[in-house]
Amino acid sequence: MLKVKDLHKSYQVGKETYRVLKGIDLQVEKGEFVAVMGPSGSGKSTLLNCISCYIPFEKGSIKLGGEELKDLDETALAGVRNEKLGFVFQDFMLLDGLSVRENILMPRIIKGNVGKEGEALADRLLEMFGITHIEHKYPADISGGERQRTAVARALMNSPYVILADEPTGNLDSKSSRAVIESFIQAKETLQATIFMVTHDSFSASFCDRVILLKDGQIYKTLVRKGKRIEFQDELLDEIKEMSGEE
Amino acid sequence: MMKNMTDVFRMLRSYNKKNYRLYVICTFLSTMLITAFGMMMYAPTVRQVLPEGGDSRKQVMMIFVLAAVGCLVFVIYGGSLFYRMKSREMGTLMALGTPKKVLAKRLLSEMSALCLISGAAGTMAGVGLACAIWQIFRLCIVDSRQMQLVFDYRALLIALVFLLFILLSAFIQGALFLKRTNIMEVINESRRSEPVKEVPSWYGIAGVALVFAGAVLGYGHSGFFINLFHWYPPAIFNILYLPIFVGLYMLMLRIVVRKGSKRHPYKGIIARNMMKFQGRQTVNNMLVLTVLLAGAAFGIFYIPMMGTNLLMSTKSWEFDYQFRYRQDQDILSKVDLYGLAKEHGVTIRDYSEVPVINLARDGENFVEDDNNKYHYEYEEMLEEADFISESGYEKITGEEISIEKGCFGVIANENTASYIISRDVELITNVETGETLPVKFKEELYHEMMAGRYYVLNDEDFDRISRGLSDEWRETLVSFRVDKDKYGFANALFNEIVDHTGKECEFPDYYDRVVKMRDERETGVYWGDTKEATKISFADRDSSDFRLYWKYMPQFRELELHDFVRSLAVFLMIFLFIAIICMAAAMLIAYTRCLTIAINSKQVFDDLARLGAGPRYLFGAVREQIGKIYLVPSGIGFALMYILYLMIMYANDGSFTRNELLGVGVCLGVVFLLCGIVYAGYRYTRKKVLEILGIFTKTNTKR
Repeated sequence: MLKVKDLHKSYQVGKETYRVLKGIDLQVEKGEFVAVMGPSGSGKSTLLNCISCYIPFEKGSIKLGGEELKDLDETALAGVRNEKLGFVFQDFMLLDGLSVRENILMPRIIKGNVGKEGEALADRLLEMFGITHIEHKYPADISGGERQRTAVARALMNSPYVILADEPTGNLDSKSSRAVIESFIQAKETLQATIFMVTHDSFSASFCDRVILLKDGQIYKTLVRKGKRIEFQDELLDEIKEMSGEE
Repeated sequence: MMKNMTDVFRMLRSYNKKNYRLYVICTFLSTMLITAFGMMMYAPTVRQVLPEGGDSRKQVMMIFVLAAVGCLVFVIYGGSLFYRMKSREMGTLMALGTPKKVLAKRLLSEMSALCLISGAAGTMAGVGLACAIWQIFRLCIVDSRQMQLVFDYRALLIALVFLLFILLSAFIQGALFLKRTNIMEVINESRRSEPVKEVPSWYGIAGVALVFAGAVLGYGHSGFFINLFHWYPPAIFNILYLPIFVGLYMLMLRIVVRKGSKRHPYKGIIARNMMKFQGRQTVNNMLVLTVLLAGAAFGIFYIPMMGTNLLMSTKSWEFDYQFRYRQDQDILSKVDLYGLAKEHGVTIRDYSEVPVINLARDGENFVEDDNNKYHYEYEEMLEEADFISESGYEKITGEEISIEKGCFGVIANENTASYIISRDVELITNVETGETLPVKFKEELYHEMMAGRYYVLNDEDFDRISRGLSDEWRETLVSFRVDKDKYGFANALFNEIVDHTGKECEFPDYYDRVVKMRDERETGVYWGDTKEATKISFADRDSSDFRLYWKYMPQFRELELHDFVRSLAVFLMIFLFIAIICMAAAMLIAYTRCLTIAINSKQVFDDLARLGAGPRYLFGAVREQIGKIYLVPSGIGFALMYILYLMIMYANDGSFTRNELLGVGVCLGVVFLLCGIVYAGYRYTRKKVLEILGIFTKTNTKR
């Protein structure tokens, strides 16, 4: 579904060049829930922004559903973002002037086909994530958890190949975080959604099928969940400690 | 129910009303101010009073350009704020896959509609504002025939051009905004600060030095080239004023990012750093404010300078009445004059009549060559000059003088008139007989009323050279004092003189019959007879033009003092208008900038309050920022213009005359008045900013 090969990205700050991604190779299969973890500055968000085509990259290849994203022009990329990718941001990025329902419908509105089918899907997503009661409310009037569930529902509106989530629980309390992660799991199970999530939170990551550990712009290790969630979380914590050289 | 992007944009517009309102206000106010200024600039009355190519027109034009640039910067700033506030929304839409083409189309059509609607409304309001100021001026200060409200359609072209500039800048800003490929940059745009780097301490001194250098180079370059190379530098050389702006920018930068003192490094740290992080826009705004406030000071200074000079000169006149007329004119006789005085209950005393002759004097003629160069050519008959005899001078002044044969004296005063009469005359000619008389300068004689006009000849020389002159080249100079002077008499006498003067004397002071003879002989046309030359008319005898420029304008103290405002009405209005427009633009920009700072800094102030900062501390941080924005530009702008005026006064004749010193003294008072207005604006803005930030010092609480 998503294939990243030899991805390089650097930033220029003044005269200094910072190499943030140094040849990343990864692959995410359909229906998989994958997390990327790593310390600050390891390149997690940059990796996600490159895959989202939000920021340009210098070298490498990103293929989505077999299509090379690097070769696409601005209009085609916009099409990919609208139809093949869904996004969930740490600070929600909802449009404050639109209601919850309208925010969820946005990808369809951009695509130009809301229709009855779109409305029905919106109803289904509202119900699935338990936010029907706030569908006519505005983002300013709802809680952080509700906002993020709205964002997850919006990300699923065009049935994308992959949902990209950047620290989706970063601004939430533990209860809301759990609700958001559960909504991802629900999307994966009921809609066969593929989720690629960047997080620093081992609790959230422990729900994933696979966790990629990133260090200094390179993949340090990939951990696959085999047993219970809690055991996986412990394993993750151990690996993170080891990665940061604490033991 | 929302179905398409049109609905989405409509709803987002409705939600972000405040952002739209701010931009609309920016464009509306700018267009209004520029239209009002343009209306005034292109009013036929004003164009007539400020002739093409004249210094006053150039100065007004310069201020207009500065005001226009200031307003344009203000609109661009408003535009950048608008896009900044829109960035998160636009970024989200891009992230969700909205093609840039769709966003560009929507955004640009929105901007076009905003610009056109607010611009059109601003243009109409500008016309209204110009009419209102004009009418208020007529109602409250002076209403003369010359002050008729007639507008030229070209004034609207200025508004249109300005509007196109606004539209163009909005489009360019929009294109740059959407051009970015990094969507995260767009999303985070509204959070981005605009810090300025630390600047070394010498920036302040270098800034002052550059301002000074720019003023000297800009003002002095033309004199330098003219005197040394006999070459008139083209307008592009005005670029030499540029160091002023560079210097001002450096000075502002230094003030904005100045470090704390070594003794109290943490004093004012919040305000200093907040300003530093919004530094670029703040410094740009402060620079525009400085220029606009200097423009306002320029406009308003003109009035006391002109007024003081005229009033002081008039008050120091030796006679209450002095007038001259050509002897071929049928002006009222001494008997008629006494009769008129009796009718008005005025008693005439110290009456004198003295003959004056108009001769040609020699000198260096200024000849323009190609490429802005010029040279001088000696002319035996250069221009007209007015001569009286030594006995005539004694009769008027009661002062005994002795002018030797072949010599002449010039009548000067302690003010400006002392340098406008030439001492380099070597030959004078009777234009009708061709008789010549070689002469040389002997001495300066002092008489306020006659200063700058009359040469004094030895009696014998006077008789000899005037022989054969017809009445057309002879004048009579009448002087007298009165007991219990009355405006009614002065006005009646003025009207009598004008009514009895023929059309052949209906020309301005600079109209020179000797130059006319030479020009007609050499080129067939005299410039004074062309359409370009300012004309005066007996029908407009109350106009500024007539009162200031008629060749035979009488000097009646009572008339001068009484009609002072009317005579200078148009000048007063133009410069007051400039001052109002520049001041209004400056106040608006400062107010908007301060509100922006308040809106952008709200989070910081909330955090400071959470950290335990009390209302007094927060108030101090606000006061320091708002204070800098208002007080630094006004201090620098007013001081700069004051120094420039001093330089102009000094450059006129290399010294300060009594009247000039008095004028600049009054200007100092005006500076205090302007500072008072700025301070009132600052207090109002401070109050508003404190309200926005929820800082209440009186109750000692923070909401």
